[in-house]
Amino acid sequence: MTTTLPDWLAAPTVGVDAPQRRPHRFLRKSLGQVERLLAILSEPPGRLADFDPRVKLITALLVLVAFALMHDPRLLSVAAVMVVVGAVAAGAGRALLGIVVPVSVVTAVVMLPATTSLVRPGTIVLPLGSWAEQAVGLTATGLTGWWLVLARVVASLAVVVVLTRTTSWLRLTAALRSIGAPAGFVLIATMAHRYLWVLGRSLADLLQARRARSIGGATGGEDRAFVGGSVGALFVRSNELADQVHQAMTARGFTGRLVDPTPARLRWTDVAWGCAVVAAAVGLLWGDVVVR
Amino acid sequence: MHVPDGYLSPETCAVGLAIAIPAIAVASRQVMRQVKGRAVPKLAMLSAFSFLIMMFNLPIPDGTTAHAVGSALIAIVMGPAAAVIATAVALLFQALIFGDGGVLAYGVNVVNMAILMPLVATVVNRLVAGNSAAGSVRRITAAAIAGYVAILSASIAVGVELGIQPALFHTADGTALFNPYGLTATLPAMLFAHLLIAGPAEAIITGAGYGFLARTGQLDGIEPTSDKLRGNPGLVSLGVLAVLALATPLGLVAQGTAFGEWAPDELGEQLGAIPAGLEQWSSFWTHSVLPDYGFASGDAPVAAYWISALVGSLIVAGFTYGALWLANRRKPVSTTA
Repeated sequence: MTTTLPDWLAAPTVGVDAPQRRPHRFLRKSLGQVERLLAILSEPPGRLADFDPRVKLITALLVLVAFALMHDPRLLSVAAVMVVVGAVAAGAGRALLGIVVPVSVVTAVVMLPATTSLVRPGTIVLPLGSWAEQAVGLTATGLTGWWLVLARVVASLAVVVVLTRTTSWLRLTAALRSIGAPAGFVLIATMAHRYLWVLGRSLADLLQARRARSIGGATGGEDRAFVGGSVGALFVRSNELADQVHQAMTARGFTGRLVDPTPARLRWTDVAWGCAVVAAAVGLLWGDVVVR
Repeated sequence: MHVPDGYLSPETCAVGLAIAIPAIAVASRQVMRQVKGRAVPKLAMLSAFSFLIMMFNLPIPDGTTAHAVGSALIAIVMGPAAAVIATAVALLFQALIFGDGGVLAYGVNVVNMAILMPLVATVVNRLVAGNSAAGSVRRITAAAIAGYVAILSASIAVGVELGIQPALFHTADGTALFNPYGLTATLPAMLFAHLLIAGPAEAIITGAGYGFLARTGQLDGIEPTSDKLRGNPGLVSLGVLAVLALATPLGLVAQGTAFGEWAPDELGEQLGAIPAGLEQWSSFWTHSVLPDYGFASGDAPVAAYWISALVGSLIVAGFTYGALWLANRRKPVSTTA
């Protein structure tokens, strides 16, 4: 059985075609980012989640400092490969792809002009031609600097990915508190992480609703007015939620006094893990000083 | 705008953290004192809000999209102290969840976006808005201008932080250990991008966001703490100290002498003669503690420059503190209409 549309419904609607309008590229981008955020927030921590978060945090910071102090690109590359392999083994491979690859590509491209004699004068190892009667090419110092920064960026990001993808936010903020971060700041960061989901969902609904209502895009002015209104609406929603949460906290006896949870005891495996990581970082630094 | 790890030296990162940590502590204490227990959920919600604002890709007039920081809007509506905390937490999320901005560079990012931006936005907004009514065109324009100037100032700070790296941190053969571009490249690059792309985005978010809140009467129930800038000389002084600390290495990097600050001999070489008045009065005071930003003996010029910078910065920050403290005693000002 076939159904035919009545003429009035089949006829094209007058006024839908709107010249001077463009597709909602910003809506797609924003929605994509919010959905990515919600997906990340709902990810369970990967392997290594059982290790003490304090040990992981402190060792991660020490390793980052060690990487920042290293001058040899070869050793830094070895370190980067080690951390990346560790991250993949810890089940953070997807996060690595999503975070480390884009940042590394951007870094590699942004740093590329600095490999030329135009930006970093030095011994030219690969001539590219001449400009203003001067030889132009890739310099040894420029290439070394490029490699050094790129290796450091990859290694540092991989460390952060391993830390955050194997530790829940709650345990991470507790670890921050244990190394002396202000109690109020840590509490706010902990609560804000929970609200991210609620507000992120509100934002996604808002953007989806706008996208569903739009036909043929909108003018730039309309889009900007929508974003301004959305930001304002989100702000209002944040304030309302904050008041509701405060009332709920007060009803449960919150007086504004912040109490730290009792820290868990360190196990020998945590200490051994921490010592091994620190030893590796010190070894890399020592090697760096030797080859410098 | 978010500086990742690897671009800045550990020394620069340490300076950033040394400024960021006390500023966060001062702002946190001020907000907690002001709104008591309500501050905790309020600030947590604002932090989530600030983080989400950075996810808004905004269509800007040149046809592309950009994202804003949002700390100017929070500073104008809720006050600079609230903006410091909210943006600092949002930056923590970005560094740890998205890898956007480094962990070691967290302090520097906080200085740029969570301290400098709210303070500049508050001052500019107050200057432009004057005593106009909340929601008036002038107020909305002031908010937009404040957002624009605030992100511009933060971009200059980023340009300086990145641009001083190759001059200060390199190997003996000239290999840059961190960001390889000097100030002549980083400042124009940052300014160009923020004058034309990120600046308009921040202005639209701040102006339109403020306009929406004022138009829908949402500002009625909110008590902005922007007037409390006067009530917190410590926070402003720290901001001044932050700017001076970031600008200090410029003196080590800069070539030649500053325009118009020539010694009589230098001017004499350029003009062929020393003006009589200058010759007479230039030797009027010869008891400087740190002449020409150095020790009288001329020893350890770099160390002497840093000591001069520290002393000078502390004096300026001290004067700022004193002036604000006096202003606060004289007349409490409300920015709400």
